[in-house]
Amino acid sequence: MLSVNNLVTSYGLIKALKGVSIEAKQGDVTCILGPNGAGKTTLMFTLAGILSEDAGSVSLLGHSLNGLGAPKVLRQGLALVPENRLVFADMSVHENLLAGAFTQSRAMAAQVSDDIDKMYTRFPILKARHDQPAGTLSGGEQQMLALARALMSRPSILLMDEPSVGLSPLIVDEIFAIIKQLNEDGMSILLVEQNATKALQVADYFYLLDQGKVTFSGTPDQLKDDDVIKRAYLGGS
Amino acid sequence: MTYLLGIFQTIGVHTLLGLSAYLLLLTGQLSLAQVGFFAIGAYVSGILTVIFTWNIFPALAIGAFTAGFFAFLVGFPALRVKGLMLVVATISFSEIVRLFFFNLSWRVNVNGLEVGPDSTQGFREIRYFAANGWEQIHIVGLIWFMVIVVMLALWWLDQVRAGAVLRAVGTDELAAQSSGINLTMVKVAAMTGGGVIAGIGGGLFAHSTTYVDHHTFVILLATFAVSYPIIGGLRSVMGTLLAVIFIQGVIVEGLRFMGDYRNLIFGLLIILVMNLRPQGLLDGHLLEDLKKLLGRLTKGEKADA
Repeated sequence: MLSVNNLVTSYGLIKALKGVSIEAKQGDVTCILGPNGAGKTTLMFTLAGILSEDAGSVSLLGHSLNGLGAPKVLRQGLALVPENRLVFADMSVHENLLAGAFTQSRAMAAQVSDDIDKMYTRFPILKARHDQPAGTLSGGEQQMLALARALMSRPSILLMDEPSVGLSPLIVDEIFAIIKQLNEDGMSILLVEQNATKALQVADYFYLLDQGKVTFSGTPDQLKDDDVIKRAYLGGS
Repeated sequence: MTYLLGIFQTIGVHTLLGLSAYLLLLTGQLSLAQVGFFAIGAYVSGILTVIFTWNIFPALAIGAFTAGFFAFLVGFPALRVKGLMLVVATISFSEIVRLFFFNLSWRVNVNGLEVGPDSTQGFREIRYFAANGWEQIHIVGLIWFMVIVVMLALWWLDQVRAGAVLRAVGTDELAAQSSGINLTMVKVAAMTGGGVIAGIGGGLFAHSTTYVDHHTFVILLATFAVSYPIIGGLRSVMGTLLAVIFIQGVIVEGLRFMGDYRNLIFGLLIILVMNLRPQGLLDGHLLEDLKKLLGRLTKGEKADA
């Protein structure tokens, strides 16, 4: 579905991604693990068209996403939920959801309205807070809003950048339950996480990214059997 | 009466200048180029009515269009940078414009009189209104008509998707990008729109004062332009108007006996607002309270009836 081949992205002279190749299959949750500075967010930004790649290719359902830029990548069906939630703090919850549908044409107003109703059904807390400024929501609620906003663009694949960061364990459980439910409803997800234990509950396939390179790829069972990963990410010995 | 009309005139022109900065501030960009666009609008429309003897309305329109065109051109390179670097880039643009007009000498004989921009001596003969029998009340009326048109346009913009897009970019660029917003297009559009508004303001300013020179378009004026929406708040166009009334009506005019010390109060006011009301005088809460009060008053009137 999403195919990334030898992707290279740099910040000036510093190469953050040094030839990354990954595959996210349709209907799967594909997880990218990695320490701070591994290039996970750079990978997300490059896939979402926010950063430009220096080399390599990205394709979604057979269509090339290279050099399209963020608005066109989103229209092609790849939506990003950025790290730290990043809601539009001064706008109401409802306006944030409308913002997620910016790429939809005016002719689709009825569909947008239906989609907002669906989001309120999936996330009842957002309905209860629909006219509240997004900046006043709790961290977990903001994460739900950021997720719902991304879903408003009707993506084929959802990129989630560390959805658990900065949230309490109970809220993290709730967010992962939502991810699981979304996936069961047919959404393909590319998840970036440092919390491998939680990721194991939802992911079908794992990649480990370190210093801009993929150093491991495998199923959850293979991940659990890898001694280095066990020590670094799963608290094992 | 003339004095009061003069204050209304100043408040109207400065409101246009402030609204031009307001539009760009909605996208989170602090630009000091507004005074450059204001100067372009002033000189271009002045040249058209004085040298080419055009009617004021097409002259104002071409002045605004030219200012908008330069804002569009400046927008692309300038908006690649942010924060302090954008401030420096836009100051540089305003200074280039000012120095261009400082050196511009284009004297033409029109009806036996030599007229036009005269380099260091300024541009003196912008007397369209007097030559065509306009009274001061008509000039003030025209300025405020334009202020109301621009305010209504910006208010309408805030009610539709475009306003939400501008505010989304101003709130968080990354979140805006991940919502599929084209940052460059939005910022350049805001810069161009701001340039057009400043151009209209500059044209009206030049014709209402009859004289402009390079001293008119100094950085202090650019500072005023961005201060109005910052002090007034970005929740509503009314905030900018309130700030202009307060600064020009109360501080500049009301405290005239203090001379240049007024500038200290202006600076102090900015510091106070930044610390005490970072969202500006007319923030979201105050706006909600005012709406509720207005709602209660309207209901009360209906009940009385």
